[in-house]
Amino acid sequence: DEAATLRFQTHHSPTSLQGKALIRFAELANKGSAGTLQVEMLTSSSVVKSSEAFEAAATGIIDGDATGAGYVTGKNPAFQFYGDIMGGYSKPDEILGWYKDAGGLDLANQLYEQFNMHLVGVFVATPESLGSTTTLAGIGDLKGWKFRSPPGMESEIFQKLGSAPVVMPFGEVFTAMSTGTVSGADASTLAVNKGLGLYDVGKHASYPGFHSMPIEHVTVNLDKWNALSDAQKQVLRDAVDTIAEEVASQSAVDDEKAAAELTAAGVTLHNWSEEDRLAFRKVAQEVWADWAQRSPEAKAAYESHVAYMAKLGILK
Amino acid sequence: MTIELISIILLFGVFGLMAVGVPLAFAAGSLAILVAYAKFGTPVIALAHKTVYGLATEYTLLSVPMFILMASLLERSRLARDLYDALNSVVGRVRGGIGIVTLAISVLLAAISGIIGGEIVLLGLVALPQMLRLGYDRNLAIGIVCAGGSLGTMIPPSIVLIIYGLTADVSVHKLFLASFIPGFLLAGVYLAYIVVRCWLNPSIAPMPSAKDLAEFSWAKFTRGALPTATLIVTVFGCIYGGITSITEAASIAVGMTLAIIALRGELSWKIVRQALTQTLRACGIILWVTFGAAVLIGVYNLSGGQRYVTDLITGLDISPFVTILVMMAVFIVLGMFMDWIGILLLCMPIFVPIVLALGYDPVWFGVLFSVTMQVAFLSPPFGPAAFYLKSVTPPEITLQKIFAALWPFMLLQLAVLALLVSFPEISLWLPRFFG
Amino acid sequence: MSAEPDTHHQAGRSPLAWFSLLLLVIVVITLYEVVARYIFGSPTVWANELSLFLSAIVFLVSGVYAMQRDEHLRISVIYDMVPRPVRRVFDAIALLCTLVFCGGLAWFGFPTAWRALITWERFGTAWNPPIPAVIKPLIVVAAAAMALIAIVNFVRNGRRRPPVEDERIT
Ligand code: NA
Ligand code: NA
Repeated sequence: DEAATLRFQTHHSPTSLQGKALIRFAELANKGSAGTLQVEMLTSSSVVKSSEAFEAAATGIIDGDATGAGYVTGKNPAFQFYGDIMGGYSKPDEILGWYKDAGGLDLANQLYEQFNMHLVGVFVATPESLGSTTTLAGIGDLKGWKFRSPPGMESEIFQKLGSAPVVMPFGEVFTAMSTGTVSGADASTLAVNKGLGLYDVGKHASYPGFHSMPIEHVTVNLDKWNALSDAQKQVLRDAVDTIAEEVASQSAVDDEKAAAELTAAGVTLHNWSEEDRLAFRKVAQEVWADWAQRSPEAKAAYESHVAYMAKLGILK
Repeated sequence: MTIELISIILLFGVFGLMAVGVPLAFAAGSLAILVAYAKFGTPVIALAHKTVYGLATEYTLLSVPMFILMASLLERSRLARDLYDALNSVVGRVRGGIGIVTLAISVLLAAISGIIGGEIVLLGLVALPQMLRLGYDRNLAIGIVCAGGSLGTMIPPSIVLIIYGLTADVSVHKLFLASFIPGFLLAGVYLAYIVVRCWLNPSIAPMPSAKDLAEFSWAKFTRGALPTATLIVTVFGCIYGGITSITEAASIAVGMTLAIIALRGELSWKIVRQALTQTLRACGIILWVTFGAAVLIGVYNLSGGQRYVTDLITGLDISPFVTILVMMAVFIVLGMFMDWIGILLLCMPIFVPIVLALGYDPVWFGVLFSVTMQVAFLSPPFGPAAFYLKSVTPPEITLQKIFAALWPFMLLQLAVLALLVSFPEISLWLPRFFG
Repeated sequence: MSAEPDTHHQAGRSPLAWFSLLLLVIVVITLYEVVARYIFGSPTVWANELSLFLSAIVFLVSGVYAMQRDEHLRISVIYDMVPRPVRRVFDAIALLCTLVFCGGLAWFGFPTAWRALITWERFGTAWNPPIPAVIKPLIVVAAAAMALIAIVNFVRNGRRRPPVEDERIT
C-alpha cells in the first residue's frame, strides 16, 4: 500500500519558531503513521503567495495550508474570528481551550468545509507586542498614536481609540520610525520584534501583549482528508497538538529572554493594568460585534467566543 | 518523474526554447504547465493562475510601471539637453570635459531613473555626437555612454533591486541604501579611468574651440540644473526621508516630472500619450516574463527543486566563498545571453536560500547581482546597452564597433565586483548605519 | 524599453492603449493619499488598495497589448540567422508554447475565477474592494485573448514577411 502524500505550505521560514514547529509536525506525522503518511512542509511560501495558499489547497494544487485564517477573511468575514480575535484572549491556552472544549473546532469546520477544507488543528504563540518611539503605558497613550498596522480589524479597533493606523510595507517601518513619520509598529511577538530590530528604533514595548494573538491553522483539502483512515487522521491531530504545546511554551521562553535583554538595553516594557486591558477589550468587542453582522458564520463564531470568554471571566 | 529529471527538462527546455526564439514568458510558463501535468496531474496546472494573481496584486510591483513612465516622460522632454548644456558651461574647459559631463549626467539621471535604456538613448543623441565632433576617441566616447547610461539600475532607485527585493523577500529600502556607495564607487572608477586615459594620451580628448564653449550664465545654469535637482530631491526625500513607500515615491516622481515638464512649457497630450503607450508595452513585457518565470519556479519548488539544488550545491564541498564566486560566474555567463529579469527570476528563488544558509546577507548578494547585471548590459552577444545605443547612432557605428569599445568598462565593473565581494562592508555599512 | 518612437508599428492604435491612462489615475490617487496623510493627518483606507486594483488591471492588459504588437521578450540571435522555412518551424514552436501557457492559465484558472466572480470575493481588508472577484476572471480573459492573438499573429506572419526587429525591453 502506497503512502498518502500530503504537501503543506507555510509562509513561515524554516528557521522561525513556527516554521521549525511545522517541520516537526511533518516529522511527527510521518513517524506516527508508521510510513503510511508522507507529509512534506514547503516553507517560505515557495509555491504560492501566502494569501493564495488556502485556495491552492482547496483546489488540490497543494494538499494542505499552514498559514492562518487571517489570510482569507475576504472569502468570508467569519474567518477573522478564526484568525485573530484582536484584544480578546491573552493566553495561548485560552484559544486552544475554545477550539477543544467549547466546540470551536466543530464550528470552524462548518465554515472551513464550505470551502472544501478541513481544519486539523491550530497553534498560537504568545500575544504580540507593539513597538513605539513614544510611551505606551496605558490606553490613554493610544490617542493620536500613529503606527504601522496591517489593514482590517486591527486598524478599526485602534481608530476607535483615537490612534492613526498607517498601512505601509513592513520593510519601510524602520526609516519611518526613525524620521518620526510614524511612532510605532505592529509586527510580532517581543522576541521576534527584537530579532527584527524594532526596538533599536522604538524604545517602548507593550509586554505582555494585549492587542493581538494570531492563530496559526493546519488545514487539509477535504477530499484528501476524507480519504485518510481514522488512524491517520488521529496522527495528524496529535501532531498539531504536540507542536501547539511546544510553540506556546517556547515562545514564552523566548519572550522572557528577550524581555530581560531588552530591559538591560534600556527598552521600557509596558505591562498594561487590568482596567486598561478590559477597556481595550470593550472597544474591541464593539468591532467584533460589527464584524459579526457581516455573515451568519461570523455571527455564530462571535457568539460562541463571547460566551466562552464570559465563562472564563475575561469579559465582564 | 524524479527531481533530477525535472531539473534537466526545465533547464534544457528553457534554454532550448529560448534559443529558437520562443518568448521567455511562454517558454518558462509552458514548461511549467507540462511538468505540473506530468508530475502531479491537472489540478496543479491551476497553480499558474494562482501565481499570476498573486503577482498582479503585489503592491511593490506597482513601482515598476511608475519608474518606466517617469523615464519615458523625461526622454521626451528637453530637460536632459538643458542639463547637458548647463554642466558643459562649467566643466567643458577641462581636459576630457565633455566625457566627464556625460558621466556626470548619467549619474544624476541614474539617481532619478530606475531603469536602463532611456539614458543611453538620451546620451547617444545629445552627448555622443558632441564628443565625436570634437574628435574624441570613438571607443572612449561609446564606452562612457553605454557604461554611464547603465548606471540607472545600479544607483538607486533601481528596478533590478525592486524585483530582487520582491523575489528574495528582502527590504527594497535596505537594498537601495546598500547599493548607494557601490553605485557611486562604480561611477568614480569610470571617472578615474576617463581622467587617467586623457592625461596619458591627451589626443583622445581634444579641447573644444572657444566658439564651442557657451558662456557661463547663472540663469541658464539654473534652468538646466534645477529641474533635475528637484526630481532627485523628491525621489530621495520621499524614500530616504521615510515620507512615503518606494511605490508611492515612484508615483509622486511621475507627478513631479509632469509638473516640471508643464512648467517648462513642453507638456502636450502627444508626449503624455507616447510615454503612456511606451510604458504599457514595457510593462507587458517585463511583467509577463515575471509571471512565466514565477510559475516555473512554483512548480519546481512543489516538486522539491529548492531542496534538491540546495543539497546539490552544499554537497559540492566547496567553501561558502567559492559558492558565491560560482554564483557570480553563473550570472555573468547567463548575462551574455539573457536579460537581467530572466536571470533574476530563474536563479534567485534557488540561490537566495543557499546564500542565507551559508550565513551571508541577502542584501549584499543583491548588490553583487546588480553589479553583475551592469556587466551583462555591456557583454555581447546580448548586450542591451549596446542595442539601445545602436538604435540612435549613425550607420557607420555598427554593433560590432560598439561592443569592441566596451571591454575596458567591463573590466572596471569586474574589478569593482571583486572589491564588493571581498569587502561586504562597502555595501552593508550604510544600511546598518541607518537601520 | 524601446529606443525608437512608436511610429513603426501599425498596431499602435489599439484601443487597449487607453488602459495606460489608469497609471495617471494612480498618480493622482497617490498624491491625494500623501497629502491626506501629511497635511490633513488622516490617511485614507482606500488609496493603496485602489492603486493596487488599477495596477493589476494595467498589468493584465499590458500583456495582451504586448501580444498584439508581438513584442514579448525573446532572443532572436539564432532566429535571425536561419532561412525563412526554419523560422516558420520556430514560429510554430513559439505558438505551441504560448497556447500551452495561456491556454493552461485560462482553462484551468477558469473554475477559481468563476467562483471568485459569482461569490463576489473581496480583498479582506478594511476597505474590502472586490479585487479577487474582478482580477481573477480578468486573468482568464487576458490569457484567452493572448492565445487567440498568438494564433492570428502566426497566420499573419505566414502570409507576409515580417520586419526583422531587434526590439527588447530592459
Ligand atoms: Na537609478
Ligand atoms: Na550581455
